[in-house]
Amino acid sequence: MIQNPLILLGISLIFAGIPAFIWLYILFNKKLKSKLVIILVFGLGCLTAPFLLGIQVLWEKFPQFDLSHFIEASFSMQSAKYIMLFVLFGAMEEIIKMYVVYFVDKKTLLIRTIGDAIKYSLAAALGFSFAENVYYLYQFWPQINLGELTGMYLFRSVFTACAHMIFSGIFGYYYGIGKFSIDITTQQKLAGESYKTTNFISKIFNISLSHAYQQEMVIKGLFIAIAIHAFYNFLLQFNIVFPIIILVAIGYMYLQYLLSRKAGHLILATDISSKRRSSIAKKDEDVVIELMGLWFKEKKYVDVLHICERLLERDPDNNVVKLFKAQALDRMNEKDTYKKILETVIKSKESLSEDEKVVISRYTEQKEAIKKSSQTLSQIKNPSPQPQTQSMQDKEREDDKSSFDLHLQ
Amino acid sequence: MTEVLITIEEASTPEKNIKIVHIGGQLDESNIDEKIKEIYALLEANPQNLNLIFDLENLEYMNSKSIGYLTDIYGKITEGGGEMVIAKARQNIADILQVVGLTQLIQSVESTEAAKTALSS
Repeated sequence: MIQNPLILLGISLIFAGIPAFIWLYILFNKKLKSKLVIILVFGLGCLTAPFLLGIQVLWEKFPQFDLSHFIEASFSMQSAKYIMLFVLFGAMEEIIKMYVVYFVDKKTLLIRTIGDAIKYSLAAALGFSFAENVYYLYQFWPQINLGELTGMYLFRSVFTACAHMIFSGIFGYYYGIGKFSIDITTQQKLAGESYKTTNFISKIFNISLSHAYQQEMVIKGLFIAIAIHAFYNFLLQFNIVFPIIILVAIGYMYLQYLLSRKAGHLILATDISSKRRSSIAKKDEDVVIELMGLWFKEKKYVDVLHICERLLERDPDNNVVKLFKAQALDRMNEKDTYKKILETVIKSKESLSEDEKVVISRYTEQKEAIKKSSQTLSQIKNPSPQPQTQSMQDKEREDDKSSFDLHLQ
Repeated sequence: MTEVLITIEEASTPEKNIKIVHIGGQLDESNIDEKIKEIYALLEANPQNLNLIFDLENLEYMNSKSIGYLTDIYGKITEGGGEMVIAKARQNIADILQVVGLTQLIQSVESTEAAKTALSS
């Protein structure tokens, strides 16, 4: 039995740190560039749990401000009381984790993609979970037997940590959508999405559509995170592990799905001073983008991709076009051979299926035919053309290669 | 309503039925549906082997709907065994057609003479 509180704290820190380190390694090992920021966010997440504990201590000292007492007094039905308490504690935890992401975003401006917003939310959640585990180990180590302690430790290290990351990850996704609301609302409006709720918020609060959309997404993300968190807390009271595993598994798969979406990897936050100029006039570009929206609505995703490729050659930093491209790729049928070709690194001809070989050879033949006809026309205009220099041939090959460049980072 | 002027010029040779469609002004939502009927009437009158040259020298602006119509007209002409060429498109129009990918389907040349030559070959 460990009596010394400092030793007990040290041991709790070590044991709580092991799963936290393992999770950090699994999630962020490959992200070399942003490791320092992730550690910072993790650290801030660690502070959130003691902060909430502090609030609960203050509630004990000043019961007139105790929200849990207020809920217990307001609801006579036991079940309603418990549900509201789960919602209250879920809300408190999610709101404080939200502020970590918000603080990092405002201070560092390092959230450049929707994926970044998810990533930093996961790190904040891990920090919170780590701090919570330190507290639980410190509290319960002297009180329960080794078997129960081990069970609690393993459950909290795997499922509770995962659950916290899922709640925060889902919030992070919506936070990211809201952050890039100007480009996203422009693209979605062109793609035919309607904004009844956003229009309503915009009119009520007299704010722009994109600002209203941003607020709507943050609230939506928070609401979903709180709802799932409250439901998780509700399941915990029954002490049955299986439903919790199901909930965590579904949440994990949903988060993986959000992380896999192409739109999540687009760098949407760009420094205006470094933005490259478009080589097509805005009025004309708007015509093309409008047409892109029409074809997107008609599910002509391959045509949309082609236009996006050509337009990005003229205006490489157009986020609306990048979003269309990413969304078209996301929505294309998984079995679509064209999508497979765009997404797969073709190592050798042998790795291609027969269908893929046919599509590639047809594309190559069409390109050759177009090249020949344009050469014939230029010969009619200029009977003795200049022979192609090596650098011109290299540039042509580079242009061909870049036609499959997805402009993703 | 924005101004647009469409005139059709006869340019047939003994071998080929060629018409030149001169479009000037701006094609937008206010006039495209009305004005495009003139070209569709021409297609109805010449369902087979019609060769069209679109002279876009004086076309300042075209909206997304007009691009859709252009693609549809191209489809109808090629179905009837004819051909279509675009001539003298201004830089901004050429940019739109290039980005949309129409220049990969429809030849774009710098003069009506070159267009006639392209149709004759």
